[in-house]
Amino acid sequence: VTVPGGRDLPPGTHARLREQVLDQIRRTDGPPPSRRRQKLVVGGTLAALLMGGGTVAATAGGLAVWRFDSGVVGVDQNRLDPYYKGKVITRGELQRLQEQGKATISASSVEFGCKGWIPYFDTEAEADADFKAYAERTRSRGRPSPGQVGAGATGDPCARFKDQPGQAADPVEVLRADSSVAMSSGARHWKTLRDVLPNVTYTYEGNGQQSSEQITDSAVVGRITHTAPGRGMLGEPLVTGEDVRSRVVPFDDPRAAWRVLSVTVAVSETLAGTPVDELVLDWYLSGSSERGDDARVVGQALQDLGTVVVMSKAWPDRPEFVPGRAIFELGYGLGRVATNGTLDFPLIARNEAPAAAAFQDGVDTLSELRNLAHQPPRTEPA
Amino acid sequence: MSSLVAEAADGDAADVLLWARASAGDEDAFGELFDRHAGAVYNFCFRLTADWSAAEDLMSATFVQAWRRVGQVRLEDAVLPWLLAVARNVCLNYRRSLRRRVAGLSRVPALGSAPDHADEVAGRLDDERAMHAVHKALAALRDDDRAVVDLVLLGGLPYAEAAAALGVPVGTVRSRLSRAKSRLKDAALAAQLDAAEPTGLVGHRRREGQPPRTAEGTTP
Repeated sequence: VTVPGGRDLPPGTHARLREQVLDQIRRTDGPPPSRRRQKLVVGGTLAALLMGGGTVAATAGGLAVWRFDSGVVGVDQNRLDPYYKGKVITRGELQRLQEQGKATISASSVEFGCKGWIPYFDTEAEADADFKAYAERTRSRGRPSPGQVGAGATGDPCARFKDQPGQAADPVEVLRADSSVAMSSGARHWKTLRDVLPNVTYTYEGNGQQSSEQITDSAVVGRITHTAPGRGMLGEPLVTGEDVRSRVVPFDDPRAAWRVLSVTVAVSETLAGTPVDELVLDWYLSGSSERGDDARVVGQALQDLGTVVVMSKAWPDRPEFVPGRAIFELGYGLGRVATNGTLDFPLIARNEAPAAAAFQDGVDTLSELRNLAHQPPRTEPA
Repeated sequence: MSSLVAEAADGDAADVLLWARASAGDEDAFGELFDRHAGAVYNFCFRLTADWSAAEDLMSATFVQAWRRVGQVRLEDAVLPWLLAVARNVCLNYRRSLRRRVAGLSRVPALGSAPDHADEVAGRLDDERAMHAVHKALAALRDDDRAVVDLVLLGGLPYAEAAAALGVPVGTVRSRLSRAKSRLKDAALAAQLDAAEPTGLVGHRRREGQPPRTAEGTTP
């Protein structure tokens, strides 16, 4: 007698049984015992794997790509950014796409891991086609044989991809994909760049009183050098009687309705306002996760903008506001300065493009903006 | 979502990382482990039961059992040996309950059968007949020898992985196989047992040559 050879599961059976198993563990069994300690277990397990194997032979540029002693390369997808249709996107954007039935298929490979991406596709067919191309590229480079990556293999697992410059993420596209950039108040009494500089004060009449306000109190030139997860914010103030409590919660608090990225600007020139060497600003993340994925992606994109002009204003000193400083209308308050001094505001949402063109109103260089900012203060009715 | 995945020379490291994710409650990772090993567990369950239909249910039951223990078991090597050890227990329990059930059904008149002559079905019936013969031949083995034979001959595990699954030294696996071979009256089966080392007979180990991939319907 002989043992019969193996057979595949009948067509459709694999998917049906898979669904049955996953359905049962979700509905009947629930999470495994360790799930309540998810973060601890994930961190602990990973650390144990790395230490137990003896094993991190290499990491690449802060990315979680490493080589075990056995030669096997591991990739931590938790540290990769979603990549869709040729660009890095935020987790919030990924969620919006998936709500539309897009970007539902993900894949991974060492090559993408080394570039810091986890690609998403709309269909299995797209993913398959992409991976065929990936396999071709890998073959043409001469993929290491199992023997080469066998026991004792060392070295940077990303070395073989280093001669291939990755397709750098366009920071403007990343930031545009974060919908908070598109926010603008709508009702504006300002029209152009010259209307929002700190040397313009608007006066208001109301309840028999006159008040005044600047739209911005600072305009600086510099580079965004550092970003970090800031705080989480509840959707509404916590009001008990007359007590208005802070809406602030930790960044990783799952109750947060939105989250704030803390952005540090190294100032090279103060155009208007109190001269400073450094500004710390709030950047509002839309669709951010408590894990801070978007904070990392958006933060990197902000740093990649290069030299910027930032117009900002401190929050009013009122109890329901958290002390801080915000970029004016985001896309309108953050301009980019090219090496030749040309100025543009690429983060103004596309659907406001006509307004964006009018906003600069002929102020197309840093030099022209500097001249405007240095003009004497003026007061105008709102 | 996701997650830890590895592109591995042999897939074992990917298993370990998927296991770590599943231990933390990641159902998608567990689903990926299912994709990688369902075929091997299915064939193993068939070889232990000689019943393709039962093998489907038992394979599913094995993964449900695995999920119940995933948070308590830390694996540092391939997942498949451990899965096959779980599958073996599931299948042995099934066989015990089946024997009780068959004893009860023996008093019920048998229904007439209407065999399907399609090639696939015929092939499956041939498999089942062949496995019954294998089981008959293996019935003479001691329980501890049979456990090794199940994993090496029917599960296709190399000696080292069978040893890890059973918690015994590799030398013990060798000696038990040697003893089992001497007790097997069937020369062809003994020859297959000889040929099983080091990689086993079963072809359904895992998909190779393809980067691991997950399908995710929700945002991580």
